[in-house]
Amino acid sequence: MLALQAEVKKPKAEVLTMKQKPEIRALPKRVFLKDGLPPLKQACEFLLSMEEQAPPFLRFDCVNLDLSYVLIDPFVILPEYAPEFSDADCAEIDLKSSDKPIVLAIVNFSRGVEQASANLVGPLLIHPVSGKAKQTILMNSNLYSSRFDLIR
Amino acid sequence: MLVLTRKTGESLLLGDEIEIRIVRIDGDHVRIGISAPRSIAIVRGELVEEIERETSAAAGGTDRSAVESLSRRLLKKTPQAPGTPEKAPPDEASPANDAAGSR
Repeated sequence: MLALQAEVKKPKAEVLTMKQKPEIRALPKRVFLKDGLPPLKQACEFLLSMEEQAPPFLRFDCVNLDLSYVLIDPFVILPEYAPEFSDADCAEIDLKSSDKPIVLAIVNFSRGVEQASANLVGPLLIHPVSGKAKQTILMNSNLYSSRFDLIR
Repeated sequence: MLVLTRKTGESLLLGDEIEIRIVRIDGDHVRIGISAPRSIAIVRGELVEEIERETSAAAGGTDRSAVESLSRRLLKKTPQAPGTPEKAPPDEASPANDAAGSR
């Protein structure tokens, strides 16, 4: 446990594992999307929090609209996930090469629990400190699915 | 929209830094080469639409019981046997560590 707490102080990758306790993760509480969450341009500010009753999911609640999403750490469901982000996307949230971003996938429950899926092609790229974020489309998008089944 | 006719091998310039070249035409497939600064994001149009559709479908309407039920199922699948880790610790093997650094 001590080792984990020490790591939080360093700008390391924000990787959530099922065994990690949510409270020791340093997630930005507020997340800002300059251009909104397409196609909703006005969905610019969100509150990010752990789903305490339903790990490993996270809540993503829009501040200015009645809009909420469920997110998941893609590395939990696909440990070999290796997203490549464009320089343009990194620059947009002021992410430097030394910064370790938080990457979260949007979960789609609209087809029911059995068909619940995560969008691994268009994850949220979040600056770990400022909370500036963007929904990206991966440079290596051909490797992943926008409907990655959670129940496999 | 500006519409132009080009032959194989011919190109278009967009400003000073972006060149689009017709590499090959094969039936209804056109192979295009693009030279642009790395700061310019190049994305297939239909992919943008697909992501927007998925995001819209995922918005709201998620009832708590569905999220909690899936949570229980996912956690059940995670190997938790003490002393027999199946994977390296996440900080060493995590692709997230390279997510930004690789660019």
